[in-house]
Amino acid sequence: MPALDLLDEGEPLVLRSLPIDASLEEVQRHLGGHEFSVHTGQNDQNPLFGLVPSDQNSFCYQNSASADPFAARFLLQPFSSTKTIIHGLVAPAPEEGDRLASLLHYNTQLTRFREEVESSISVSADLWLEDIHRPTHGRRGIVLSTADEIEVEVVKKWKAATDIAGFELRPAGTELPTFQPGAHIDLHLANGLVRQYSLINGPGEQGCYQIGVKLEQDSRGGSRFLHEEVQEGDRIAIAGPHNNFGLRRDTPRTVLLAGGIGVTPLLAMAQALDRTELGFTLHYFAQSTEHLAFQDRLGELGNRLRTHIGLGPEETMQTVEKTLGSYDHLSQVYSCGPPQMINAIRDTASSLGWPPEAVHYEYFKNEKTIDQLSAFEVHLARSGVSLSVDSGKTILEVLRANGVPLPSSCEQGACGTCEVAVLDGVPHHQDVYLNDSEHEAGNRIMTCVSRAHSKQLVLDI
Amino acid sequence: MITLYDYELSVNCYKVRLLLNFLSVPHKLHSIDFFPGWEHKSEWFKEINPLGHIPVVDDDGYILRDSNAILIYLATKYDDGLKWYPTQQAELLGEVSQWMMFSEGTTNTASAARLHDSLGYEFDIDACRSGAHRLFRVLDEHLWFREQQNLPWLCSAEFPTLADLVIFPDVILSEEGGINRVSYPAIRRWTDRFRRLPSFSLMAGVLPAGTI
Repeated sequence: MPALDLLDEGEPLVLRSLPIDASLEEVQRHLGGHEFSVHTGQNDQNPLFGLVPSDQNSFCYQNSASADPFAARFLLQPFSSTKTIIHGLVAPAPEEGDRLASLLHYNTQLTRFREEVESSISVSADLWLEDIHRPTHGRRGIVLSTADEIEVEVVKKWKAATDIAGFELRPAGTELPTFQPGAHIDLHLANGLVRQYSLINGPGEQGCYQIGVKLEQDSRGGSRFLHEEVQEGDRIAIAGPHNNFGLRRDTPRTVLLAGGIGVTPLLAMAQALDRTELGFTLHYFAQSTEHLAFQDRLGELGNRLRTHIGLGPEETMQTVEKTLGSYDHLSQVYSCGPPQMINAIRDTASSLGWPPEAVHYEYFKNEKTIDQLSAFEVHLARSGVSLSVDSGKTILEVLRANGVPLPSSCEQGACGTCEVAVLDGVPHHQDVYLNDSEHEAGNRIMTCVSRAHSKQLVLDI
Repeated sequence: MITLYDYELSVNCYKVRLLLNFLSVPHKLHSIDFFPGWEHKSEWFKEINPLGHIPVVDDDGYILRDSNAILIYLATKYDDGLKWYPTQQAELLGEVSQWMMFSEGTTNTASAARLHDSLGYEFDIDACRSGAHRLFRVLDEHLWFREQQNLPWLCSAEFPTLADLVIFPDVILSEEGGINRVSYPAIRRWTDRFRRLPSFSLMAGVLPAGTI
């Protein structure tokens, strides 16, 4: 800390310390550009002073040349990720008779500064979360508490490839939860839609989330809104991260098979594996080299990346077959991409002798036509309640209508959020989240799309 | 003899108990089964207070409801020095009244948050908590500048008044409503001073001085 003669000689005036509900970085950012006024006793003639950072947590000002020398030092004490305490000293100390007026003056100045900092982060956050971007339509009848939502700012939006936009999201005020490779977040969009996007961050990249969004030609409003409406500087509510696509990190050979935008969770996995001694290869199938997204991250993978450009469905599956080979107990495969591609990969792996537990996949959407004709009873074992699910209604809807809250996300049987354990009865699975052996076991069900073959299902809730 | 219709966990009843003990006024407590019995809403109690609220005092047949009214009555009648409610000092009395009004705010925010968290009352908890923090900031600033003038209490007197007494319970129990006081050092010192007063009485959730 530099010597400030005025402060170090004699007794400075110790100002009232003020806690500010903002991170250290936010307070530093504002303090650099803020002007305070010196207390002289004559209000209209108080000269202004700006503080200069002297080290990370301390800001100083000194004017010893003029006829009225003055110095100030403000110390920022980081209290938590959302609270910073500002401690101030000024010199010379006023005469005893002016002491209280001087303390009041600087307290008012600091209180105004606090309002400036806090209004830049939290006021807009409240407005945003409570009034504007909260989905208001009935579909998400049960909104989990606001504590589960995080408000983020779009700090960067860029073209990651043809039809793919990259977004970097930074939190306003709080810290982001950590996550495992393969995880996704829910985006609560201003048009009321909720969409899931995988995080592409590599290991150790904290402080922001990066996602890739493909503009879907048949967009139901999610990807089009993100591509066309959302701009840098906008604020979005997100929830999560959730991980339904976990990566095993004990496998000597991991095969990552990505089709198009399905690269996003696999890119996070590849970067994580790249920091280990475990063997892996990321196979990336794309229409053209212009469709390869996040080239900078891909470049880091070196020869662990194989790109396959412009292959038709048959050539793709021949390549997959060659790549997988016969099952050898030391391998795991993870795939993500268009549903037809995942279906084909699962079939191929199965015919090559790969057991279901070694074949992992994540569908971004469920393209099956959902049959909603059946009518049946659900008995909730823990709640002791029986409810009828009529045709046209889902189990999830009936549960919610009767006051049984259940989290959900995609509501098309792809994400696994609304899973419930089945104690008795035969489920009619229509999801793409569980694999075949899990479907056969019949002890779990995705309540948003799946139904019952039996007259009654007993659920463990 | 004074009878106080009382509920141990009620902040407003605690205010009356505090004053009765500070003034060493003999009294007996008639416990009302507020939760879960809702006895304050029973027919017999509504004959005493049609609003169905506690506290109520019965001073040899003189019945009074509403904690602030009860406190003013007790302080005016039983405090020989007329310090708790200084009716003879206009400026000081004005300040006391001002802060007693302020306590409406802390009751509707900090104490409402506590009722929400502990007794399941349906309040907008976020609004309660942020409202309480707004008031606590004002209170902390005021108390800090009092200290700079060597004044230990809310009003311009060397002794505590009903102003301190009515705000103290909302503040000291705020953490039961999820409102912590880490950002308010002057408030914490003031609650410490208040708890060191002679004849100070505790209630569930209020710890002796020297603790937080």
